[in-house]
Amino acid sequence: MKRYFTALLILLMLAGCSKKETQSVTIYVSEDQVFSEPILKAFEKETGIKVNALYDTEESKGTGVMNRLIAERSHPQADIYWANEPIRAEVLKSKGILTPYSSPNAKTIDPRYKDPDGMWTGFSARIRLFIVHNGIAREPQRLYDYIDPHFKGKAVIANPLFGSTATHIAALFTLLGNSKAKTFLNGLKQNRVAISTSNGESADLVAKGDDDFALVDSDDAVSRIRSGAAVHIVYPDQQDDGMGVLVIPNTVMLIKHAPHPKAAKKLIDYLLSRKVEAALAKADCAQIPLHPGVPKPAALKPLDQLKVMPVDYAKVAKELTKITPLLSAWGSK
Amino acid sequence: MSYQRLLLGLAVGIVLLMGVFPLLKMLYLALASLLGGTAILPDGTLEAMLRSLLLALGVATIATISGTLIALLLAKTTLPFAPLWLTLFSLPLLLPPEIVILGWIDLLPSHTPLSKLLHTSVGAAWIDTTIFMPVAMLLGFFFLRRIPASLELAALLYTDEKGMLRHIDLTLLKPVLILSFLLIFILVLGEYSVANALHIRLFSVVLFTRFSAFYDFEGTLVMSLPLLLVAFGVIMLERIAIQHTHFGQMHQETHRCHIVLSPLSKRLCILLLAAAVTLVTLLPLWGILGTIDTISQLYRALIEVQHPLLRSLFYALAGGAAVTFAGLIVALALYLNKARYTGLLEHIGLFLFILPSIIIAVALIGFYNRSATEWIYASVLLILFAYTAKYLILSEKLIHIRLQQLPKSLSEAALVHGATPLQTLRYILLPLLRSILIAALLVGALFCLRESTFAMLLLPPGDATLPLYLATRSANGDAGLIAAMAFWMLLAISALLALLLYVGTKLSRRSL
Amino acid sequence: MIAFEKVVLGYDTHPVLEISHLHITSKERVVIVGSSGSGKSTLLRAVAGFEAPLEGSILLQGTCVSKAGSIVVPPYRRGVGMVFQDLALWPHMDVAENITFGLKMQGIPKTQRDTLLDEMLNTIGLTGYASRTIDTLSGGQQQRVALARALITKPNILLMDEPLSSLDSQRNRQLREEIVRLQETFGFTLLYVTHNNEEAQAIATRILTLRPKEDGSGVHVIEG
Repeated sequence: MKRYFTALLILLMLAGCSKKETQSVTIYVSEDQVFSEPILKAFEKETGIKVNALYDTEESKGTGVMNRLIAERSHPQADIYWANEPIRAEVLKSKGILTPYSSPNAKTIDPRYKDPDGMWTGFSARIRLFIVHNGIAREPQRLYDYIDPHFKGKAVIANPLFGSTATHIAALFTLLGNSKAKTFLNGLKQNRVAISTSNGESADLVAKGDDDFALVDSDDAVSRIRSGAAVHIVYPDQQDDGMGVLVIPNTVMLIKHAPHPKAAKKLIDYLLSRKVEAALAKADCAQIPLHPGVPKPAALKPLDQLKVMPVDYAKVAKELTKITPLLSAWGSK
Repeated sequence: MSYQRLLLGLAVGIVLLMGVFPLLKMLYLALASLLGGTAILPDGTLEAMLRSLLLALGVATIATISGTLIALLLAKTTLPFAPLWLTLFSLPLLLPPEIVILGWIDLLPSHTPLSKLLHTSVGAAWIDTTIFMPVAMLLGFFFLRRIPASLELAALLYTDEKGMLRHIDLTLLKPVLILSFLLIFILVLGEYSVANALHIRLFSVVLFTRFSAFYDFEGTLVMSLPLLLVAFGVIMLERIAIQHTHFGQMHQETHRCHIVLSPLSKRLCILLLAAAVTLVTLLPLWGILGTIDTISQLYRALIEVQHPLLRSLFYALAGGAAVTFAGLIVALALYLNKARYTGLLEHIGLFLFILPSIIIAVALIGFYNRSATEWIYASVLLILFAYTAKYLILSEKLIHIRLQQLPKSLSEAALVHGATPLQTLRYILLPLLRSILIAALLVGALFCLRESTFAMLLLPPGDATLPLYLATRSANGDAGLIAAMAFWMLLAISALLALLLYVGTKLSRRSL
Repeated sequence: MIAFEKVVLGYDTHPVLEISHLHITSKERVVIVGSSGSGKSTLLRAVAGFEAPLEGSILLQGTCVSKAGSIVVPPYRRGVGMVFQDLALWPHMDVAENITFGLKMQGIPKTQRDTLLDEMLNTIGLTGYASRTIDTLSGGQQQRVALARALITKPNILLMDEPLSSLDSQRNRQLREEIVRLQETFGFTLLYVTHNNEEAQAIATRILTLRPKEDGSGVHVIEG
């Protein structure tokens, strides 16, 4: 018996030691593993630097990982955080968990997708757009069509408590002010807008024709189009007086007191390269490159042909924490 | 210090470091935060709590009744293949909940009425019932099997078999029924994976989201207070229930009383059992297997999951070994020391077992996440601690019961013939415990394998296990490929289970 | 050899048996009889060192081995042999391993152990049974193995706790004669517990009876 336990103990020690490789980098990832893992594997292959990645789970996007970063603030385990939007980057920045790094590869990225203090850098973005069922009588053109009586009971939106929909609502609050945004939220209810559990479900409902349109992420719409569903894309609020579309870039950031800063910077440079943006544009997530000149996904318009919603991501992040109780009360009513 | 005391010290140390201290620190922080004005039940959570309580109550009732009925059929009649039925019914408990749910989701085409029903409290209640019914079934079965035949035969002098079942077996079984009910109740209350996957706002989901989505450590601690309280209440009730069991008088007898069924009712019972097994076990399995499109998909899945799968097995076995080792220490300490409060250790063990994983994980993170203990926090030790805290009671009970079955004279004979207590342990007790230690290792490994909350919160980066890999990978993944990955997980679990059954049969054949 | 001085035996704080003064000399065959609950086994267990007396002290060969509430010399240093009521043969060891266990604990090398084992198997008539497992032996054979295990270390004192209670009367008679023969060959002091008077008569050089005290307290005293 003793022998077994000794053997096991040695095994455990070996397992513990195997972590200490000369060149490694630890990254926490909130972008879907299906899309992020191949990128990180390619980096490993190219540089020989071992990547230890911790992925978020689908259901609790940005949960374990984000929380771990905050909890580990006094002795960080992670070098880098790859978030699939800028809000968490802002939360981490406000908590003093990040340290600035301006990658040479980010020079050509529009400053509006970068933190002015260099704490985080955006790349490969999703945009929020309408997925519309083909052949309906009238096309929705603006976000406010959600509360237009014409579409009463014909539209669906993902639960505004979570994910990019929450971000979108928070952005509306910063843009329109409290009372107008609240009126819009209540209007959703009055106009009997269906609430789905996720953008994916919204897109499915529209693809099936249960609903006329839904506000979703670009990748949700592109995947339905690629699979041949009877849907098309409408970019909302493109009129002269329109709000523009909301752009949600991926963000990457360096953790303060990162254990492997050198390798971390190499990986950040890699993630911000044109090559990675091209790969993410080509993949099923169909993300829009922020570097000028990188080939965009076929089904989407390039950013420079779109009217983009002017948002301050820092303000949106603050607004989001403020309105969470409101949203949760709105959801439970 | 004598080695008996040393063992007791070690046992107390294990329980304190892996469970009690982290929980106490958490409790202290939670109470401080509560006094600071943090709400126990923030807006909307009261409703979730009520829904959870209602669901737990319903599932516990149905699962206890149905589990006991199956146990009665298998333990007290001449139906063949009892171990096979038991294993089939137990599968949903042994599989990671993620896989069971995946099976059901794969089985029911989306946007059909049944699939919509699945995503309601009814669906969650159904899946929870299939997962936790085996608890009542197994407890009932093993208790019924230990009722001495003489008690039943004595009753048969005065009443028929129905009367015997009612007045002897079921009456003796009552405390076990209460225990099953309480256990299932609290397990359902803490169950997170099912409700989360089905998007149902139960208290455990709210709690988890609170901890993760809102990055609110203190809020989570305060919100977990009610669950702590319920768990504590269950332990108190369990104490009372157990005090009235007659486990002490029960012996393993080779001679058992069986009710002989008529050929017709036997066939009917088998049909009923087959229908039930199909409904709770085979359908979700079919859901997974039916979703795999091609054989090459299986191969691709294996290539992709080989590392997470091996890691899963490594963590499961390491967890099982840690749980067994700790269980052995505690069981021996309790067996060799008759101090008055040693029984408290078992109560703490049971308390940790029924406590939702999320609370243990949060408590361990809070306790070990500091510079001085980073070597624990940033290594595999942290998750081993969590496994040990949660599943200690399982291995401890297995080993302790076995120790109590061994006649005391076996150790005394060694002592009187010149073996020191340590030599007695080495040459007599440990060899006699060998098969039960292997069984405990496998049981521990199976439970560690299905546990994903710990894997989610406590594993070092880059070390994702297969259930976790499945959970993260299923976002935007190809359903067929995900099902193929689940298939490999199923295969690994089946292998462990087969080993366990083999050891189990060997154990039960041994006469002692 | 064995001396009891003002000893009270019992469980927790309940006295069961009082022995004001008892001396057993070398090579005696003392049989203790008494009804169940009179403390016969307790007496043996106290000599073996499994239990401490509530009061008084017990001496083995002039050394105090236990006194009120504490065991001074633990069982494994007392050098006594014992045959248990349930025999307590270890199921995971074969006949040879069972018998030579005491020798192994004394650190006696394997070759020497094997010689002693052969002698002992010969003495008890189980030659050729060395590698048999315990569950393949008959009741009488198991009895002999238990005896052999207790005797192989040549103890000065042998304790036997109703060792023949599970045998039929013919086997019983046969084995009790063998016990007497073995005692005469090995020359140990025998302390033997039984509730069977016939058995006692056949074995004993001295019989001690445990009787309830006159005061009705349920405590027993020794008479002999």
